Formats: sequence, C-alpha cells, structure tokens
Amino acid sequence: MNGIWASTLDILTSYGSMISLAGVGIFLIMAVNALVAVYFERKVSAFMQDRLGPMEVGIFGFKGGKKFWGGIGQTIADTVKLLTKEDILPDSADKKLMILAPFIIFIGAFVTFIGVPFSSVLLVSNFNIGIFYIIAMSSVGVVGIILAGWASNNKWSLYGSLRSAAQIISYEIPAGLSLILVVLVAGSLNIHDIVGWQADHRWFIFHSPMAFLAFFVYFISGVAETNRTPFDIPEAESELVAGWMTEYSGFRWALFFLSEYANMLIVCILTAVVFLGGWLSPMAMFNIFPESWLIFDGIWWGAFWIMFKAIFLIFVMMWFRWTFPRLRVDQLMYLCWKVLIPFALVNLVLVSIWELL
Amino acid sequence: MSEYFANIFYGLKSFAEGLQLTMRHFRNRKDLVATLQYPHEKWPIEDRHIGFPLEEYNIIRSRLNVDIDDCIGCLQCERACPVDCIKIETIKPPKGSDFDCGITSNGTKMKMLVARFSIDMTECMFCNLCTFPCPEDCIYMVGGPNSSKHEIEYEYASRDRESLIFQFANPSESDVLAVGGENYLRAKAGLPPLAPEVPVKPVETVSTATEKPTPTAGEPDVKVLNGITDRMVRATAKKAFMAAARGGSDLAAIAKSIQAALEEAGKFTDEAKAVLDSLAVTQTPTPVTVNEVSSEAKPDIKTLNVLEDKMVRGMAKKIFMAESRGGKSASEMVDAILAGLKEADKLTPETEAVVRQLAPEVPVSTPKPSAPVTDFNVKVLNGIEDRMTRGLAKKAFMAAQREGKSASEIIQTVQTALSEADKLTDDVKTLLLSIGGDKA
Repeated sequence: MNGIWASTLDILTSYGSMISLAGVGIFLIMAVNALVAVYFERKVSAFMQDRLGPMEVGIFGFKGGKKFWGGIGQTIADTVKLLTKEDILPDSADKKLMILAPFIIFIGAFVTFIGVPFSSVLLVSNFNIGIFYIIAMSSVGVVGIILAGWASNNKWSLYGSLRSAAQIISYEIPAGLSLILVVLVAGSLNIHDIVGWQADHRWFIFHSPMAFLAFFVYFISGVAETNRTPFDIPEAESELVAGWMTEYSGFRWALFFLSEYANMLIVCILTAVVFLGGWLSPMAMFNIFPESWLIFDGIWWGAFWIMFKAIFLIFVMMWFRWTFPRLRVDQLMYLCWKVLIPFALVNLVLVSIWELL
Repeated sequence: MSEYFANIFYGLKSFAEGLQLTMRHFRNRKDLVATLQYPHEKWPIEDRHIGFPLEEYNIIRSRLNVDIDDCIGCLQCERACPVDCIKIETIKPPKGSDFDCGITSNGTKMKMLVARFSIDMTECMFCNLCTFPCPEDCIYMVGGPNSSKHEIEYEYASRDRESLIFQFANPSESDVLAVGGENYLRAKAGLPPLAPEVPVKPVETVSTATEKPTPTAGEPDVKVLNGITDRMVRATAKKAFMAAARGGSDLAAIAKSIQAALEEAGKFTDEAKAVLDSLAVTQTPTPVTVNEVSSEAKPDIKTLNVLEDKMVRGMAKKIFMAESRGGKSASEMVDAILAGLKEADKLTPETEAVVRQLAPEVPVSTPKPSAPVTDFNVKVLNGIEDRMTRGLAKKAFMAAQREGKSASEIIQTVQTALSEADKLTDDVKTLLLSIGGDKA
C-alpha cells in the first residue's frame, strides 16, 4: 500500500514539475516573442514608410535619442502601461463571457505550443499526430473570438468576430490541404518524421513544383488565419474600430495581443518545419559541402536555424502587412474558395501521381 | 477560364511589384527617412537678409534677457511692462553696512542688492517696452537675426510652465543676509516676517511729539485726514490742522481745533469724527509695558556681521535665525551657535568672543526674561491662520487700541472677544500669550 502511494506521488511530482517547467518555458517564449515582435514590427513598418519608429524610450543603458537602438525599451514600457491600465467591463456586456474569452484565446495559443518544436529536442511532446494537433489546437481560438465579440454587446465587435470566424474556418481548408500534401509524401504526421524525410531527401519546398505551390498556399492561408493584413478584416480599424477587441482594455487586451503574436510564431515555425527543413541547416540540404560543415547541424544550432527561418517568415508577414491594402470580404472569400482551395486540391492529386511515378 | 488565370497572374504580378516597392524603401531607409528627431536635431536656421543691417534692429524678439550683473534694481522695466510679467525685489543694505553691491559695466555704483528678478515669459507679449527705459541697457530682447551673442531659440518650447519663468537674479543666501534680508528669506520660505529689530523708535518719536509738538513733527499727520472721503470736509479739516500746527499746539489741541472748525462749518460727520479719534490715538501714552521691555535689548543678528569669514558668518546667522524662530532666549542662542560652529570645526576664539556679545549681560538669576513685546501693532495677529478668527481678533485689537488700553489689556480684550465668538482655539491662545508675554 505504502509503496503504491509513494510511487504514485513520485510520478505525480515528476510529471508536475515537468509540466510546470514546460508551461513556464512556453509562457516565457510567448511573452518574449510578443515583446520582440512588436518592436520588430514597428521598426519594419517605420522603415518601409520612411520613418524611424520608436526612438525615445531607452533601457539597459541604451539612451533614447538619435541612435538606431533608441527605442529599444518601448515595448517594455508599453507592456507596463498595458498592465497598469484600468480594466473596463462595459455595463451591458455579458461579464462572465467577456472575462472568459481572452483566456480561451490565450489557452488556444498556449496549448498549441506543446506540439511546436523549437529544435529537434526542444519540443514539449513529440506526438505521433503532431501536425494534426497543431492545426486542431490553433483553431480553438475562434471560440474565444466569437465569445469576445458576442459578450462585448457591440455591433462592431460582433461583426468582427463573425468575420474572423468565417475567415479562419475558410482558410483552414487550403492550409490543411497543403499540409496533407506533405503528410502524404512523408507518410507521417509526426514532426520528427517529416523533418527526417527532409534530412534524407530535400526540403519540402523543393520536393516538386506542386510542393512549391503548396508552400505559398499554406503561407497565405497562415497569414489569413492569424488575421493579419491584408486579411485583417476582422479588426479592420477603418470599419470596425478594432473588431472583437473593441471593448477590451488593459490586461485582457494584452492577452489578445500576446496570443496574436504567438499565433504568428506558430504559423511561421510550422511553415519552417514542414516546408523549409525545420532545424536542418541550409548546408545539409545540398551534398556539395564537406562533412566538416555539418557542425552547424547540432542540437542547439537546430534551435538557431528554426528560429532564423521563423523570424524570416515573420518578417515576410510584416512585409505583406505594410505593402498590401486590406481585402474586401467578398474578395477574401473569393481568394479562399475559388483560388486557394482548387489549387490545393489539384496540387494534392498531382502530388499523389508524382509519388506513384 | 482564361480570365480567371489572367486575374491570378495579374494578382501575382502586382503582388511582386508591391513587395519590391516596400523592400526598396526598407533597404534604402537611411537615405529616405524623412523624420527629423526634433528635440535632438533641428533644422538649421537660414540666414535672413531683408535689406538693412539686422544687427541694429530688434526684429526678432525671441525672449527677454537680463544681464543681471548690470542691473541696478531701478524697477523702471517693471513699471514699463504692460502685462506685469517682470517682478523685481531689491534689498537695500542698512546704513553703515560695508556691503559692496558692485559696479555696472557702465560704471554706475549699485546701491542695492537685486534679490529677485524674474520674467514670466508665458505672460510676456514681446512688446519690447521694458528695454527702452533701462538706464544700464541690461534688459533686452535676444534672438535677433544672425545675432552672434545669443542663438535664436526659435521653437522656444518647454515641457512645463515653470521653466518659462526665468530667474535672473540669484544672490547667495549669505549676501542676502549681509544686506539685512532676513525677512526676504523668511518670506521665501513661507515664514512670517521677523519683528523689527529696533522697537524703541516709534515710542520715542511719539514721546518727543508729545513733549515738544513742533510743526515738523505734526506735519506727516496731515495725511491722517486723507481718510475723510468728502472733499470739502477734508479741505476744511486740513486747513484747520495746518493752522493749529503752525500755532504750535499739540495733537490733542489740533484735533480739538479741527473739530471746532468742522462743527462751525456744520460738516462734523461721523466719518470725520472717527478719523479725528484715530489722530488722537497716536498721541495717547503708549503702554508702559512696552517701554519696560524695550530697555532689555533683544539679541541682534547684526552683531554677527563683525565675523570676517563668510562661511562662519552664514552658519552663525542661520543658527541664529532658527533659534530666534524657536523663541529661544539670548543665552540659549549663544550656546546653540557656539555648539553649531564647534561641530563644523569653525570655532575660533575671536568668533566665540563675537558670538558671546549677543548675550552679554543676561543675568543668570532671571530664569526667563520676559518675552520681548517688541512690535506691538496689529500685525502680530497675522500669525493666526483662520481668516475669520484673524479678522475678529484684529477688529477687537483695533477697537481696544483706539480706546487707549495697555498691551495686556488689549490682549485680554481680544481673548474675550474671541472666546465670545467661540473661536478661541489653543493655537490662537498660545499666540496671544506669546504676544502678551507673562503679563497677559
């Protein structure tokens, strides 16, 4: 009896510490990602518009002012401001749901990270259904978005959340179809197996013309799923104030922001893992380099490569954002149902034939 | 179907074009950036040429500047200012003081210390009127075009209003003390002014006036009659006053003759009576207590002026001020000053001798020298904070004084008046006691 209890406690504590360690790690990654990405985005957008971006708030000895790093503390200051802001709940809002919604969205993004690899070993859980899990969990956020829009009791919020739901549900189809293409070739949903296939052969983006096309289909769908410009009709500032986030402020709004940038990171890491060789270095792709160059493929270099690729993709997303005007609702649906889905379907068929040959 | 693919192709093409455009801006950001980081960098100011030598004209009025070393404190600019944005306070060194106020660049010897010279540029309307009356040319507008002396502060911005109020004069505390500006410093610190140091004077003048009423002594009192509003009455009264004064009669007699003249003319109004009463009051014998007290000299801060070292003097004076504010007796004061100087390691035998002069003949046997009732006028009541109470107290004070009561009686009257009105708080009581000393 005693032994059973002891071993159960043992298991519980060991699992508990592991789980809390992973949780803290994921949360830190999300928070740091949001901090850095917001600064990054503001700088990128500023440079693309011939501005300078945040230049005044320095930190850690960086003084605000003329230097390039002048505004390095801006996002930290903004975070402090956000967390100390008044938390407003409108009188006519459905208070319980309104409080609940941001946490659902946050949990959706948080839980997705369980399946997201940061390197071959920096992975919370190596599922056999890895990709499927990520896709499933990243759409949990839609529930929170609809709740937020409904609970705000505000027509703009509801419009925004319905648009968001419609958009995310639609764009999951082309995204899923392009990922199925990869699964079909690699023969597994497991992240390690997919990257392993790419290590043995080549990056998936270079697998075939169809896979090349699938990369773009997936990436565009990913941009749409994260509600970023040019697909940002759910929070179109000029039409809907801020969409489903209109009535939120302070900490809850910060959670939305955190989840949004976390979703961006998820989509970019997944694209990098599935199409761009994950934690493999570019050198490993070609056989022309001598063996000694493959030291760049160690365990920790893997984290570097995967983040390098993901950050490049995040930059591309920002590049999109500051280049293209927002799509109309009908254009958005046209692009999804009449362009991306047919292309993804045809791609799938063609890849099947390609694999048979 | 072909249109569908054409659209897609067109979409992709414009997609690529758009990305190229933004990337071009991103890559050439250093050359293209349009932002001027305003507080850190500014556009250069162009040289201005409008056809005549600009240096001679104050075309651009950017802000007022004062060469405070040249200011003699004549207040002409303050008077010229239509919006009263210039505030000047000067302190004249006491007679016999060897304080050197300095010499202006024009060679004028300065006769007073400019303790404060502030210009509130938020109020200034840049009319330039203050610059012309200045006899020393020390106040002027700066920022004239291409002025080599002062840069143009063309944006003239500030984060708070306070920094737009320019304080030009900044005399050191020891300098202010050296010219006898203790009250100025106290006012700056929000403290009530010290009692005047020579309390005997007013008593003496009055007594001489009563003993030997010369016309010259009576002359200033004509102004008392200005309190009469009716012009005719005032003129009659003044005429009678002058005649009586020339005749060499004392104040009471003057008052009597004025009253007679007015009654004759049928103009003896209540107002005139009140004014005459107040005229008479000045000659009522001042309370004996005052004379008693005045014989006992109050420790005088000027004694310390003998000290040569400026630091030591300042320190001693500071302690003196603090102690006198605390109502300490002279001997206590001396002890405190000596202790303070010793602590600062500045105590020389000479200094000690000087400081000891502050309380030379205080007999140890008297445990508590009676509180100096020095300046016994209504201003002593200014220490009362509550406005209502102060008003009441002052009214009672004035009434009692007019009746010619002695100091202790006046205090008592004030006290009873206040307790009747239910305003006699402990604070007021202590204040009154401190005025009246032990006699109250």
